Amino acid sequence: MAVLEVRSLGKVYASHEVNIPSVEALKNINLTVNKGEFISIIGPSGCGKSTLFGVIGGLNECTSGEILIKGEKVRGPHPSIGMVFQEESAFPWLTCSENVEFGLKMMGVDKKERRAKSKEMIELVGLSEFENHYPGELSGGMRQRVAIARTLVMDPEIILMDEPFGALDEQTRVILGEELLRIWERIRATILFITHSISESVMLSDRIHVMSCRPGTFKKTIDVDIPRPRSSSTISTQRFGEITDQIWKELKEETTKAMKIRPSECVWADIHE
Amino acid sequence: MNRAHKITITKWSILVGAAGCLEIIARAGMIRRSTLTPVSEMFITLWKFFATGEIPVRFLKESSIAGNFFITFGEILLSFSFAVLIGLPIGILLWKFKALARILNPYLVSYYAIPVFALYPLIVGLFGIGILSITFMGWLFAIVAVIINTATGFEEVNKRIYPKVGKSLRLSRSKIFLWIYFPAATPYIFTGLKLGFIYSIIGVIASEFILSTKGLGYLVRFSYSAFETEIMYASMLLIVIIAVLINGALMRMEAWVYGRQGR
Amino acid sequence: MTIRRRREILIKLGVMAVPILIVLLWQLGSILWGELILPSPLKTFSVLKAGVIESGWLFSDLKDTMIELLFGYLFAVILGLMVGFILGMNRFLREVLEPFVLNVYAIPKVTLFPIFLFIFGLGMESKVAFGFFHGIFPITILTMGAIKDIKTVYVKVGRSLRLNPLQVYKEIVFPSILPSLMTGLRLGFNLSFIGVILGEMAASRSGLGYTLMKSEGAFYMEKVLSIVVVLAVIAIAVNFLYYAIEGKLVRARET
Repeated sequence: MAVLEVRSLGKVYASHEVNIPSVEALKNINLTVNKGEFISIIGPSGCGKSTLFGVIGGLNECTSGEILIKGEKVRGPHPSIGMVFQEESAFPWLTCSENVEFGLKMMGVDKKERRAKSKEMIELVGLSEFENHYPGELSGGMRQRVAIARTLVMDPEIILMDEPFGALDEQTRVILGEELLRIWERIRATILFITHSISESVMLSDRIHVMSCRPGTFKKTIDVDIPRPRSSSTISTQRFGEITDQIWKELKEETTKAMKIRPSECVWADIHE
Repeated sequence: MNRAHKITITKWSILVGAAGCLEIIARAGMIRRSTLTPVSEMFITLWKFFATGEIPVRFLKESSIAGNFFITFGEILLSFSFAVLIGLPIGILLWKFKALARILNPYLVSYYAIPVFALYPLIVGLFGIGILSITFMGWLFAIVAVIINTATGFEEVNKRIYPKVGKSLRLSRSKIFLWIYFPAATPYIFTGLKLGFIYSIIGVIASEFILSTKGLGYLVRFSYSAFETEIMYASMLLIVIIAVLINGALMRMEAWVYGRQGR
Repeated sequence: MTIRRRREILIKLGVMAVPILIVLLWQLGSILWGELILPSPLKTFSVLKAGVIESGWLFSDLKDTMIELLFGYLFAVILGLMVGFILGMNRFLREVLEPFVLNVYAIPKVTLFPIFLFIFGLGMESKVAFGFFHGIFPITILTMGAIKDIKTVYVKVGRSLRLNPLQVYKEIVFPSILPSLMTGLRLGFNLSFIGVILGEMAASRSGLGYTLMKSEGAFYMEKVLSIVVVLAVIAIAVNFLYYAIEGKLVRARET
């Protein structure tokens, strides 16, 4: 059974005011993610990637279609789903280990078990030295690692990531990408990764879905047959270049279209996200 | 713009509604006339002030409305000017000498908890009862706001890239200060001036109220003790209207000053 | 000793030196202007001591003022937090009421004091109400601002971790707004304090402000200055306390 199944998903932001039109953000999204896979969704800005992220994660409701986690219908945030957000989300008032323990604490897990699990996760993401530091004292990349550890420690069946490295510089992105692969392989996680970076998606994933601009649908699915384990040196291989070209061809058209979308529509959707 | 209209309508309804309630309560005699004047009569009395130019209260030291206006505003402008003249340089000094700022910091932040009005006996002893004392009190009240905002303003400029641009163009330190720091800090300085002006108003009128000299603040006090309730409410209304108008104008100007710099 | 450490010590010394400097200037002033107008620090403190030990006038006045302050401030805190919270959460109400709140802030509130006297009489209640009226504004304004500015992503994290609403408030909203809240509470105290004293100075039967005016009328300057000293000490001490608490709660967090 697939871990995540999305069937004919649609999302319309209905307008209640006369002179503002309804916006169809997502249309007929179909997606299957099996255990242990690393799937990416790529698309231009404003095409609805983050909307999709919010809907699958259960933070927003879809207006049509359904989402199934291991056969169960999803209605609201599901315990089997972990979410890593685009913005910096490590709580500045807690130390790193307190941040990582947060979800467990809210669920009522006792102190000893929390500490053990979070220690393990912090080590996995490479932040053992900074356990007792506050996020404010760390770099952006480290803060995102805290957010990732906080999600991983909940042991979710599938992890959704919405451009987690978006706010970081190029080099840090590549390094954290490598780290993510390492972690993914270690714990055999299942990851649904949203990004706008072609090289990132090709380096990390088994399969890439290219999204069209509003209304967002899956335009094309591309299998990445580059063998694993991959690393930053994969970027310079020929196959990498070929797949990148393929994606860029699809994406270029959509990005150009996205640039012509009227601002009022984007703002409208942003308010509702 | 449906929403903006809804907001404006709600705001005015609240005002009118509250005034209406007070009017009804007063006219129905639920509260004695000596305690609450109907709102409409407050406005009428106020109008009469300006129409006749006189405030019809016996034994009032200064009975012309113009006289009181001039006195109060004269004091406000004077205390404000001094607050800026002295406060601005001090603020800059505190910014330049960080150590000094840190030493004075605990006292500056507690300053507005200490009722400076309590020092008025001293000030009266030094300056006598009159305009000078009131001006001095207004000045005392306003100056710290100017100082703090000026110092913070220049500090904010420090955090940005502009001074470094000046350095890279090899400008002298005084040139950088005059042509980069000052213009860049203008919005924050304006905030300091706005607060300084408002605190001057508050300081002056509050001092007039307590000290019993002349001016709008005293007007309220005097009519209260003379049981001239109508006059008292009219004067309060006047002060409130003036304060709100000035505050509104200053806030608009402030928004414009910040907007010009793209913030 | 590092330069930095030495600098820190010098600054601490500087802070302690300021009151000493003020006392010296004070002494200078009383020489220049005469003891009649500005009694020397020594004389003032002896009167102050007498007020504490012998006649005890200080304590009875202080008690009344503190009671008024306590109640006025408490009401301001409770109501201020509630209103600030509601306005922070509800955008419509905020856009309607914020201008009112900001404008009243700019009015010389003391001129409205007679209304309080009408409603509450000359006793302590009017001072409590006046202190409340002063203190509620900064608390409301800062709480409202803090809630408005909570980063949405933190709430989203809470939702994705399936926190119940109570947990969201306790574990996410509250720690997030704490710094601004503390500032609002401190400013609220400062303003409540001023409100109470001003009220006592304007019309009262007891309290430090009242005794201040009475002493001034009798030209008993030593007493006047003693009261000023007491007020200043209270104001500075409480502000220090707030900063200490704020430091403990907030210091480590922010970049």
